[in-house]
Amino acid sequence: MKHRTPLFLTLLVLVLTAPLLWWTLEGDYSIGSVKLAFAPAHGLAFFLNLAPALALGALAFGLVKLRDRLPRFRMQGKIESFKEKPWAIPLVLLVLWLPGLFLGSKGLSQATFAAQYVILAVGLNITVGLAGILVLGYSAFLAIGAYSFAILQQWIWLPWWLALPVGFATSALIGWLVALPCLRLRGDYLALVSLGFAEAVRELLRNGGDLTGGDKGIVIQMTNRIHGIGPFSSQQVAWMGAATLALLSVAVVDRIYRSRLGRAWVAIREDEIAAGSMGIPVVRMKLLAFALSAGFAGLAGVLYGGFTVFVDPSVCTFEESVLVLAMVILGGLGSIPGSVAGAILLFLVPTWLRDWFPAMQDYRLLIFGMILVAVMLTNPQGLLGSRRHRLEIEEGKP
Amino acid sequence: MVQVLINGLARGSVYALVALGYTMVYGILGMINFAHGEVFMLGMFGVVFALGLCTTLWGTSLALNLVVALVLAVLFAAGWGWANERIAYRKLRGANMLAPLSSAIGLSIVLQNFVMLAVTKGKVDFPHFYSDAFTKTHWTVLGARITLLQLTMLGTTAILCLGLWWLIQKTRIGISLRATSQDRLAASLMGIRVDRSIAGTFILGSALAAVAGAMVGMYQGVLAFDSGYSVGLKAFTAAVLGGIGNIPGAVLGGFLIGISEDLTSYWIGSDWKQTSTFVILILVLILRPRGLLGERVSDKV
Amino acid sequence: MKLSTRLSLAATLLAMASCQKKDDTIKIGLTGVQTGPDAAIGTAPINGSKLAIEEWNAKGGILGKKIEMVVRDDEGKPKTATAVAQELISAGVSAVVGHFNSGCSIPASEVYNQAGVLQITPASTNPQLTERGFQNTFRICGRDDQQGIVSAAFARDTLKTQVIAVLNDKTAYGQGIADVFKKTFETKGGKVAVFEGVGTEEKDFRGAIASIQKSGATAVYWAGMFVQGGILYNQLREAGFKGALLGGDGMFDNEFHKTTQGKADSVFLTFGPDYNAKPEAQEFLKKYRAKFGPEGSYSIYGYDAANVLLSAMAKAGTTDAKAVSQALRSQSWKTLGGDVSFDAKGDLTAAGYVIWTARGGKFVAR
Repeated sequence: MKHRTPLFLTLLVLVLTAPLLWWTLEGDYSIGSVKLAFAPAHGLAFFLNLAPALALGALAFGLVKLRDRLPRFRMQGKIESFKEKPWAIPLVLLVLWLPGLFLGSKGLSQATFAAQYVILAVGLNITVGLAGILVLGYSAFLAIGAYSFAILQQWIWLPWWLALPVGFATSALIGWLVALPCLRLRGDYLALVSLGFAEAVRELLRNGGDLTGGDKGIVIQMTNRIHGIGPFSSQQVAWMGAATLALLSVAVVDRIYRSRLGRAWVAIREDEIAAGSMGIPVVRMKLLAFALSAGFAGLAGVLYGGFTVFVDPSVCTFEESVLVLAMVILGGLGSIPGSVAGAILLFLVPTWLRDWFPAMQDYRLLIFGMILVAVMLTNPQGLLGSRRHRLEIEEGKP
Repeated sequence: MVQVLINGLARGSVYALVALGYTMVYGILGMINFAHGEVFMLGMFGVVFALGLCTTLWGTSLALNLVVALVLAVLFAAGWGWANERIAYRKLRGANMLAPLSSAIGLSIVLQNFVMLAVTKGKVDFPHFYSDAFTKTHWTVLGARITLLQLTMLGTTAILCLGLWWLIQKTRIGISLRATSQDRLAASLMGIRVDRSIAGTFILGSALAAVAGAMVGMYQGVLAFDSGYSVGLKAFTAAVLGGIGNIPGAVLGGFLIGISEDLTSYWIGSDWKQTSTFVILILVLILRPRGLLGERVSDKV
Repeated sequence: MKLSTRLSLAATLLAMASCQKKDDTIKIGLTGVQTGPDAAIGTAPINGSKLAIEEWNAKGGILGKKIEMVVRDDEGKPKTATAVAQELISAGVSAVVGHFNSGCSIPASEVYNQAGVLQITPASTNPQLTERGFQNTFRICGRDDQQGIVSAAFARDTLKTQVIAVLNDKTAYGQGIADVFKKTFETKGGKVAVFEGVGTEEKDFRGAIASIQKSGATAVYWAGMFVQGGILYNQLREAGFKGALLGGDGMFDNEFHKTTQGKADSVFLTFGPDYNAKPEAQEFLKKYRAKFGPEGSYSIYGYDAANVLLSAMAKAGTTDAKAVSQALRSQSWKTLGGDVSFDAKGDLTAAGYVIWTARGGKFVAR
């Protein structure tokens, strides 16, 4: 009986999708009525367009299955802490900067966005992955960082690199203030408050009159944008800046993860009450996690303002929050390499789908959703998370 | 003023029906069913497609077509709710809380985009032939105008809520649902088929959402693939406001949010309608973390 | 070290892959929203431009070279629009016809201006676009303030409206046009009793309508798009509001009549002049329909924009943005809608907005 389930589910889905796929509505608006018309071409086109993606998906699934059979290789042996080899940072930086000289303008702008998402994913990983607090409104802090830069630079000279600490501090402060009254709430409730907070922030930005420019947004002044230095074009500088910040974020979070602080967060995530009774100041630790996480989003926000030269309320949307959350979850909760991989994958794959398969342009979000569901079903701990988690348990580390 | 209250109640009745689906699933599984707003949207499209089917089969007939279409749409949405549970959630029942949530987020994206690709990127107009009878008939009460549709929405919601209460409190199905939400393991040891109870919850919630979808389709006159998002978000807020997992709380929260939205746009202006909802939510959560009707439960050690 | 060697090898390979062949064409960027809810209305001007460029190519191209189109989708999002602008510049376009949404055109114009690329938009009507002193930014459509002025004057002078309610959809377009309408209406001695914004996702206007009815307004100005415009019309009538509904070019779409069952009356919109009488326009529409299917409201604007741009390039004898923009300003140009000329800001000297009204399920010029 059990082995028939997939067949049964496939049939169920085929039946449920059939009415919308194989028939089209034909409206007769003079009397305000509708009729159905059988449209086999319509349904067939849907499956034909989806076929390459499904084939790719099946291939990827096969590869994952294959990988599970291979002997597991240990992540911790490969990726050393930057503390042990501090000289690695400039080296990695140079290697990161290098492609900037060769990539075309399109590639550069994609790389810069990808780096921005790495900062966001690593930042969100602090709350969701390490401290176990679900945040559904992360984009609010991205917007706060971007707007604190955009608003201030209207009045004073504030180039983007100078605005970075400002954005970080503003976001972190507001994150701390928001979390302060809410940490009494259980985890899933805090998630809702953060969601509500993000919606409220977006509406405030839209209704903010001349201060926020409403939906017209704010254009960053010429002098404060990211612009070219010497032989490098503005896009190359943006990429270098973004890559540097992304690397620094990864290094910082990685260091924290391995410190007392990180261990305290993981302890809270695993069992809040036990952690509290072991003497960990639970509330203060959670506040710190929230503020720090918000700060990284603020950093990404300033960067965003610097290279898109324009900030508007669409920075702060639920879709944006969900995208970053999906990056963290897909990569694996609490896993920093996982977040990096998740960010790059989930940003670049839809973009490439758009560029390489223009016919599939409209299908990319559908495919994105399918991937998310499929990964969760096959690998609920995320792609890189499970091994990491198992490793921790094996070695008896927190 | 009376007009504002009537509008708010009508809007709130929809939130209440959709909120029931969120709260029931949370009560039984402890998970946020993010795709529930999408099931509501599928219900909306289900009604229009079913009306189309009726017209194609035997022509336009007001009452008969509406009844048949409603039944078909409820079945359609219930089928989707069931399929969602079977495909995306059942395997994750024991997993970390975030796994079913992200699966639900993914599912919600899939359903939205599926409808966008299968039906239309733009909008579909609700067939006026069927909705005119409800929106054009109206009475004047205390200087306010109440349409037959608004009355129907309130009446239907009241009947469905009472029916749900009866189902849960007085029938065997209700007993097994309540037992499952109390303690899944113990329930299964008592001979309750837990899988069936959970599937039943999804089917019930989706059916209610489909009824709400049919009414909203008429009330707004236009449906689109992204119609489920904002209603879902508000309904979800309503469920939290009333105390998630609590059925009367969801209904109360739904009406409160509906009324508060219309009062805000009346007193302050439509610009602040969205903000007010979330400010209320945050305030309630800070003052009463379990929601308005939620019970106080101490953390299990 | 092994890792870095591998990475630099990959980088070199990438660089080789991304190297573009230089060929003997003049590239024109075509962009606008092509996906999402505005996809249909946003693709129309792009198709119009395509038709124009194909005609030029059939005649042998321009300045002795063929014209190559680089088409990009800005998704109607400002963020994507600036990225698209940078992509187009690096693809080596000489000029850009686009974007569609004002919210996209404004930030993108900053990027074009920095790179010295000429931009001509077929549809972005927000005043801010040409108010920042950019020499390379043009539009071949009207401005929201002109639209708002025409509408407000019509409401005050022709309809004799005393009290009006203004609703906008909170977008750059909606807010801009609503602001100008309010200002003009008030200077003409009228009263704006309700001035509110509702989000683009709103489909239930009953809350706002209650305020409107209480305020005693006898007409409503909707600054937004046609989907919500149709819903607003239905709900106004449902609530027993008998006054006129006014709007801008965003309402101008046949879908409006589907939503209102083709029964809409006393609906007054501002839109460009009536093309239906002109034989050249008829010929264009015939060709357009054969190639792309039914035309959109902005198809003609896309066609005109590309034609005027290419004529100016031919006159300037170069694709250099400075020379072309001087050429554009130097004379008047023949378009399907009549002769047009540009002022110093890059706007049309005469916007030519006229009032259209809904009659029998169609918009007709009044």
